[in-house]
Amino acid sequence: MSTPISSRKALHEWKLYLFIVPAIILVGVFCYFPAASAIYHSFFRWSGGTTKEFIGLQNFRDALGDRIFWYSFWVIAILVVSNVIKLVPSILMAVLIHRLKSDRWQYLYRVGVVLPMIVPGLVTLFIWKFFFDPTQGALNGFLDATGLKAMLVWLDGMMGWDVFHEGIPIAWLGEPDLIIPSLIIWGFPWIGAVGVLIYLAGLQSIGTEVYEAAELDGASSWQKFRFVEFPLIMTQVRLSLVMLIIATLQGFGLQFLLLGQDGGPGGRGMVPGLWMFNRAFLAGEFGYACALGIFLFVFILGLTWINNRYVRVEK
Amino acid sequence: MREKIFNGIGIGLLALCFVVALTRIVLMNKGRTDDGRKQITLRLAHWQLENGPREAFEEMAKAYMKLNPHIRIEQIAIPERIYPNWLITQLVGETAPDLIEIGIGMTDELLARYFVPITPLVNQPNPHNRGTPLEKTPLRETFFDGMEGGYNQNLFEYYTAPISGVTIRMYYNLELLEAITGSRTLPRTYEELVSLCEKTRAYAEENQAPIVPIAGSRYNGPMLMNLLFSSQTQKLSERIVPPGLLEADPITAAGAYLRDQWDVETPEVRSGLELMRDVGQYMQPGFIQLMRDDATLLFVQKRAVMICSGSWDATSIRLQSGFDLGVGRIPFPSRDNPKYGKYTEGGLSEAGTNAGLGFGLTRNGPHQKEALDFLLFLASQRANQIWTDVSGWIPSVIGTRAGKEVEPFLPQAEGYLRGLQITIGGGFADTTRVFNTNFHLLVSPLGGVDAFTNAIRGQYPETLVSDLHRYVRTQRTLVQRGDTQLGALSWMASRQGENRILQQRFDTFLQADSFNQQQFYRARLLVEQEKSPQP
Amino acid sequence: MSESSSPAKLDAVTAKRPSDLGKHLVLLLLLGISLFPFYMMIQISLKDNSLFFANPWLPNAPDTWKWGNYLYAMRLILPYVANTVVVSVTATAGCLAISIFGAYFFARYKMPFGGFLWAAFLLLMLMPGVANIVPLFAVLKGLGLLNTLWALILLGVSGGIVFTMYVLRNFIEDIPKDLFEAAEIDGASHFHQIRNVVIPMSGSIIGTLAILTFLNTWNDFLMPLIVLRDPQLFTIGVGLIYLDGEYVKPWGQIMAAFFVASLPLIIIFMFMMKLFIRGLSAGAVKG
Repeated sequence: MSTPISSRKALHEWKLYLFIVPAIILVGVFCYFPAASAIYHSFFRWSGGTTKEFIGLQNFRDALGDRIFWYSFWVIAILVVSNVIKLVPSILMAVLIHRLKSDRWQYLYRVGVVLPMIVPGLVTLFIWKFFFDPTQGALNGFLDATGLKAMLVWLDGMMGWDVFHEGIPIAWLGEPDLIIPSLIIWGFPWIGAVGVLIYLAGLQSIGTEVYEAAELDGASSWQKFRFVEFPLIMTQVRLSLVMLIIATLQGFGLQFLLLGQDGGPGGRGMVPGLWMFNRAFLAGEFGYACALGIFLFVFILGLTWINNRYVRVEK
Repeated sequence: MREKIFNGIGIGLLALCFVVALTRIVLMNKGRTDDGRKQITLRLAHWQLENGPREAFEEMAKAYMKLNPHIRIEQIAIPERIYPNWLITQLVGETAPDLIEIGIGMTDELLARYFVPITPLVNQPNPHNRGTPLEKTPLRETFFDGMEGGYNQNLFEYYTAPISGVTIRMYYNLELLEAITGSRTLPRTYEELVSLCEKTRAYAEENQAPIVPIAGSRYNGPMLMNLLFSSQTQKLSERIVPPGLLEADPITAAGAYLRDQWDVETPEVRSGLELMRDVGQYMQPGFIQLMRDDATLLFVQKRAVMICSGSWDATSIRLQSGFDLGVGRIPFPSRDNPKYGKYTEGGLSEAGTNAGLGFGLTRNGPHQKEALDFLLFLASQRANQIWTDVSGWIPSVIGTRAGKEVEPFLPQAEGYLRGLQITIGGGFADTTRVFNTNFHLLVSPLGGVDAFTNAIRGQYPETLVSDLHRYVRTQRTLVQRGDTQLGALSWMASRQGENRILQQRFDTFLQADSFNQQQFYRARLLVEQEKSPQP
Repeated sequence: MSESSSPAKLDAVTAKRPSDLGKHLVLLLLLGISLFPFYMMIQISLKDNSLFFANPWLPNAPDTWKWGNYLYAMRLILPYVANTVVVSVTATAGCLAISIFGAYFFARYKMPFGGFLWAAFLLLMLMPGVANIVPLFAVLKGLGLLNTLWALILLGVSGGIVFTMYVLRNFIEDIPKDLFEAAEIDGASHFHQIRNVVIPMSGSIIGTLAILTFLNTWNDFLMPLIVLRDPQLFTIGVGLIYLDGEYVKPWGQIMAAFFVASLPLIIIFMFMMKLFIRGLSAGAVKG
């Protein structure tokens, strides 16, 4: 903890305040001021220039009636759930690596896991975009070659989706009904290097006595996981979860790159952040976009508050 | 420790890169701040990433830079997909290039606020045409369409001097054509097209080759289909268009629908839909999902005999295909066609084609005079000649010679007026959307014309009315804006009675404003009638 | 080393396991799939379009490799790389410098208003930045920073400060107080205390934070897309987006471009790998 300080000494140490000045200035100008400006401008019809027209709560009223905006929340809800599920492979990988006998192999796998991460995210994204291509993409090629395509067509017939057809290349990013599945599938097998390393570190801090005790009790490997490992890495998981949810709620870069600023055909891939971007930088309605941003902000803040209040982890 | 050495190398490399990169940036800035008399940089922005335009702009820029050594022209090519975003960001952020291509993402608001109209210049000759036959011709008349392509009807101003134009053509793989039919003659009527398609299918079957007759995509497919549809509604249009108008403008078409003069079941319309479906069968399955490049790819890979696209694709397709390329007009059904002949007058004329691809002058640019001069240069005959020679695209200025490869693309006047479109067109967004969302029903093997019309029939009157509402709102704003201008002009004219130019301007405005008012009242009448239908 | 399990202890954990074969299989499978995109990137980058269509999955024989793709890619991407390096390095350096000083302020003493300021910073961590993009654009315009690399640098710094200060503060608070007091007694100013006490002790975490900030700025494309107009200033993110917008995609060249865009990071990581892995794990245990 930082040492308490008497007022007299504090006065003597006044120069210390200078240390914080640059940080305050930067954060003030680039974080706080824009936030305040967003709140201010959400009451105006503003197209980004110097002219603005005060319209009070009109932007907010419009937002409440904006179908696309509320649809985007539905999309993001689906994405959050799927992203949470996508945490599993990382945990699985961490556990498996942790349980290996040889140290050398552990290290090698760690390197292997980090490898995909050092390739810039954009490149990975674009490569996946290429995978989704109907005529030349790897995904369709793979499905055709392994006969999974035929299975999908058969399944389609049974369930009546009208999406997978014999002989017609699957347009992952072109068929409105497939857009959300594409956003979920992307990044298979969903191993996040940072996640794996963090869980590994957590696992390694588990003392061996706990394992020995479990062995004595005759625990199977699944039970070891459920009762020993998982609870003890809960803090890391919780941290990942919170960061993941906040990032997913705000994020729209993925959708922008894969689907363009309209959220793809039929606007099925629209997420709140993207709609905000769209309204500002496509329709030129900066004031409205600010209002949308505020809705989003309040939403996320609310979720974080709920998380902090009600989701507690027992040690 | 080895690790420390490694880390050291890593950081060292990074530091080295940093220094190199920083030096580069500093040097770059140095070059750029030599402004004023020494070196002026003009920036030109556009979205034409196809093969041809970028090279042509380079050449035109070089020619201009030779005349003006102190000016440097820089081209900025932005992908179509992000062009609208980019446009707003640049205009609002006031970092916009001096000349921006007008089209994608542009609205009247943006145009009025951020661009400088060039109307004062249109009645004078283009100084850069000195030494050519066009030396004394007013700028407006140096273009094949009278510079209509540069005129904005709503704002009553000219904003661009267009340098090209667009026509739709059918591209053919001549080698494949020869293999299939034994000759290189291109089909001229729809009947001949069908025959070619059938022969292609037979050929593909015999030789086990994956060849489709027409390469389609969500882009190329509808392009062809909409044109063919218009051929079926020609006589219908003639019936509903009031005397004095040549084509069914959106209000006329919508009004006629609401007055039950036509609907989706009208024989002509149905015939048009069937024609669309017919031709769609000759495209590869699932074409409606595919993007523009997919169709082009299919064609250049010799897996399709033909593809329908615009003149803008000419150079790209030519460069990518290794084979002899044939170009022909769209084969429309002739009057003798047993199925489609009775409702059609004949092939569509291209006489109404407007010039396109023009650059607007941004208002806050640092070098207005120089940018305007360059704009005029681009519109000159000399520059236009360079344009068509290097890009392979259509020229817009009268008197330019079209190269052998550009010739087939020049707009040809023979033909008849187009019939009305089922999507009404002209900004009827909701109606178009209904059409697009249900389009797959029309073309997919499992769907059909009935499935399509059943889906549309219920929604059409509503969307027409909502679009009309929007139209009324827009027109009202336009008329109000026009009235303000008229008022100001009239007041100015009254103080400067002898000013002929002012008088001319006032007259033009009055005409345009009257037209807008007329449209406004017509649309409003239709909307009112819908609310309380006449018995 | 932070590994708390030595081979002997691990045996206790896995003693009853007959072999690791099953695990290896699963791990290799998962890793393989993870690395598949990069395999594809590399093998396509050496083909041109016709070779690619003929044989999309497997690499061709070495004598058909199209090195020209790489020449094209380098000419296209290296300028972007240069810009990105400048922005990322400067932003990281700035962020670290400012954060070290700031964290020191909070960690050393409970100065008056310190609690309030800290809460203000913490609030920022929770605040979703997405609502800021629009007014941020207006701010940058007001400061005349549009279409400059400085805008990106400053944004990179401010973006990283909050997280970096948070982590650094925890670290600095854990440094034994006697070290500081000793230095103070020796007459060292706060500046010297930072230089001689804080930095050596927090070496590894600083390294990790540097890497995280570096990666963040490196991968950012949204603000550069909005802010930059001149192609000479483009960073990698924007450059790749523009590349993606081309109508006809020469996949071989594009994949080569992707590879060249990834190259700097790969090289840096090859050299600083251990540092990063270790630092991440250490930081994770702390957090």
